[in-house]
Amino acid sequence: MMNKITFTRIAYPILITVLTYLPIVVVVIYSFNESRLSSSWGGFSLKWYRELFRDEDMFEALFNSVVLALSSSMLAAILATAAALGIKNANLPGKRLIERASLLPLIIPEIVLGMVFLAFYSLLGMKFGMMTLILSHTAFCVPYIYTQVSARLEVLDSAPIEAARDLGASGFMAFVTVTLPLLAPAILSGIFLSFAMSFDDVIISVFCTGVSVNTLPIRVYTQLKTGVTPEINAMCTLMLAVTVVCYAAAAWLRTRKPAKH
Amino acid sequence: MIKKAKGATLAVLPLYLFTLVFVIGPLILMLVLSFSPRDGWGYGSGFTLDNYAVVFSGTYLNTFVTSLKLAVISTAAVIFIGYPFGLCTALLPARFARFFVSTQMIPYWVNSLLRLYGWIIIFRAGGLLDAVLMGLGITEEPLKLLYTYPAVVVGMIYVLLPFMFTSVYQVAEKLDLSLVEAARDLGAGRAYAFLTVTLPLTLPGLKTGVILTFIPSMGLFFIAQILGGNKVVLVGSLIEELLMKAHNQPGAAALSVILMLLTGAVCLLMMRKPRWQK
Amino acid sequence: MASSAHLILKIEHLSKSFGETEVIRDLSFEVAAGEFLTILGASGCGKTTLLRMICGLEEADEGKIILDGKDVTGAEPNHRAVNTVFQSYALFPHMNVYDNVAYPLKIARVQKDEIKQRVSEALALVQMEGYERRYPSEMSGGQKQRVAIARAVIGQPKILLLDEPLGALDLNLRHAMQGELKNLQERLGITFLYITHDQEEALNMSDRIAVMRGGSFLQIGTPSEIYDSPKNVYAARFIGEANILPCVYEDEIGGRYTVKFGDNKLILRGNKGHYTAGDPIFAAVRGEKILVSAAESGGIPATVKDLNFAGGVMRITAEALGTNITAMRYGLDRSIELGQQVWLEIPELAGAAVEE
Repeated sequence: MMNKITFTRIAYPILITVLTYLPIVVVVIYSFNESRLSSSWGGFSLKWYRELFRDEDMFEALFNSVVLALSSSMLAAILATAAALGIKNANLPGKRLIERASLLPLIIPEIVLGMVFLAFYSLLGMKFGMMTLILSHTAFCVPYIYTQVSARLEVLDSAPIEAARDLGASGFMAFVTVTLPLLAPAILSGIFLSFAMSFDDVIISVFCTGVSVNTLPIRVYTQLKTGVTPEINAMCTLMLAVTVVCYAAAAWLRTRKPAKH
Repeated sequence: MIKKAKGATLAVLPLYLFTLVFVIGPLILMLVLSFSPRDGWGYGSGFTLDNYAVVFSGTYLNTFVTSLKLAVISTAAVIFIGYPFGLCTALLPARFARFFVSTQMIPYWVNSLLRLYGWIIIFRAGGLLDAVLMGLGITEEPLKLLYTYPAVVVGMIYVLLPFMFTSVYQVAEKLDLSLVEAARDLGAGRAYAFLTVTLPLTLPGLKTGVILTFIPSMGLFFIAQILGGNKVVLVGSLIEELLMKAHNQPGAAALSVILMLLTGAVCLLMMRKPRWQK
Repeated sequence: MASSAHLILKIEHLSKSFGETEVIRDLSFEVAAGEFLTILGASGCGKTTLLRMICGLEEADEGKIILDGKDVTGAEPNHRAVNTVFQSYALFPHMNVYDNVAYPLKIARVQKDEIKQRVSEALALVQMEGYERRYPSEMSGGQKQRVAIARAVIGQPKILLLDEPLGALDLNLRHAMQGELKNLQERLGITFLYITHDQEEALNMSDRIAVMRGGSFLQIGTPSEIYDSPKNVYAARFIGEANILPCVYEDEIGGRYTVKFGDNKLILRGNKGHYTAGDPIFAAVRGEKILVSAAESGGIPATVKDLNFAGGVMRITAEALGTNITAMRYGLDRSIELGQQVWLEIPELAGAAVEE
């Protein structure tokens, strides 16, 4: 019964993995298809990559998505980490209730979140655009980071932090040299998760963006509804390539012995 | 942790205010809106139950039931596919398990819409699937799978499966296998040991997976739109339509309130912990 | 001792409560420079709280902590020249041995070259040379212990606080480390304030021992004072498992206490106390001081209840006047049997008169 390889244990995950990658592989292959029609193979070509790089709107949308995902996950990381650190000793009315409320976006369907944000911003008379997007995305990124950080804090040994104080570090120095590095894995994994969620979000963005700002998912969504050019195959392939490279780099960094500084 | 009350208060304050304004504020507005009468493109003051009455009338109710059915079918399918996937992976040696976990995570970083596009290519009439099936002589003519209910279900499963997989895997990975061995030693057959030991101990992961699957599945209208054409209309599409086309904010709010109550109930049900876990 | 040498630490009327529970009660004591003082007590007696107050991790409700003539009662932990070896070692898991040990010097902005030299000195002191690149997760408990000590002494604190530092080690290592710690203290000349619940550690290493209970010291003195003349029943029982005999006070002449255990007259050593004839008092007598004879002598008549032989020592438990008394003798003596009548002889001044 120990962890070992049996036929079922390995065959089933392989099957699911193959199915997971099937549509992706199809997209990658068709990104090199000369023909515009996805039903026929017109020969190998880099035509759609050339088209993609000429499509300024697409790149603007990609740029917007990166800006949006970066700023909202960072903003959420700051808000959530600070709050998780202070919640126990803070002196605010109903702080535990507000703490729970801040986690609500995790269990509210995105469509509802999108609807309430839309209604709320129009009530306040806010201009729809990057600002409203960032605010909404921050709201749904907070729970991902907050839960990770507070779970880590729960099991965090206070002894090393006290040791740092005892050894001469001021409260701030102890925080920077000990608490923060010990929390870093939780904060980082929260940031990665919320970055991915924000980068992928269609529903909330559709409701919260203005006419002037397109994000990549919105752009792809409109294309899928109206008419597809094989350009988006090329886009998908490029994103996959970037992800694989990042993953490989991260894996390589992990296997290396931590370096001495 | 921050020990001094003053520093701690200052640290919590930003999120505190942010949550008050951008989470609680909009939710209260939604509640208020859902009871407000329509007034042209906006809403007036006063109290009315009309919005809810409309929601419970024929077409809306039908859409709601369709959505719920699709969500239940998708969630069930995700459980049946994802639970064994997570469990099998967790039982593999660490190196193999890591491989499957990262292969599930990589596509997650590629936009889900782009990934869904792959299914359009496969399902399209005369597309890849038809070409293969007809080539092998299994089917005579194109299946025309795109813009059908099964295509939507496949899309839902595809987008939601990773959530179930990771939730189950994280719990199953910590499963103490000696407990299963003990059950076998005490006379339990494979199936019995699974039902009495493995399943109850990995149930928390399954429940988390259900929350992460069911809640979005009620709202993923774009999957129904691009893989189901206009044939499958979901609550999500309805809310979108009410907001963007009909400019009926109170109606959208009432629908949202009901949707939230439903998903909230599922959440509460799933978050109940058995006594041994407390 | 404390009175003659330079005072390094003075605690005055220290008190601390957690909610309703009073953990430290009006505690005052002094520590001389270079002294090895052990605070000995069972868990929950307040010893760890006392230590955390001295290093500044807990605030005092009342009283003063004076470190080398300076009042540090309200000072932050980083402004006290006191370092701690924590029970759990508290090594920084994300730093290797070198960075752990160098930490206090980096905080103090010491020059890089000097840090390098002092770290290697400190590691040499605890025989951990060559481990600079190891991470805490890659070391055994004993090794982590040594690194924790090196890290705590590298900043040359005025007092080193040690919170049950040997608690997590196995028996053999604990014995070896006792000698090493004592040796280290003598070489460094730093004052050690050592906390433990292990009487053996206390007796082996300390210059003085303070027996702590319920937030205050029951007795403070040299190991032999504590061992030979415990002040009360708790201290006597806690250290060396003394037999406690309920007696009646008769009189005291020149430190010789005369008491009666039933009809048996005992002459005991004692600490000053106010008694009048007829007062209840207790005799604390170590098992190894009691002589057992099978033939009638002038001793206390008793019936053998239990015999136990372990580690070359025979423990004979006999009942007299409803009290179980355990005597120890070296070697196995088969002549004594269960249920047999024996006579227990307690020589003059072999026991101590103690209060409740």
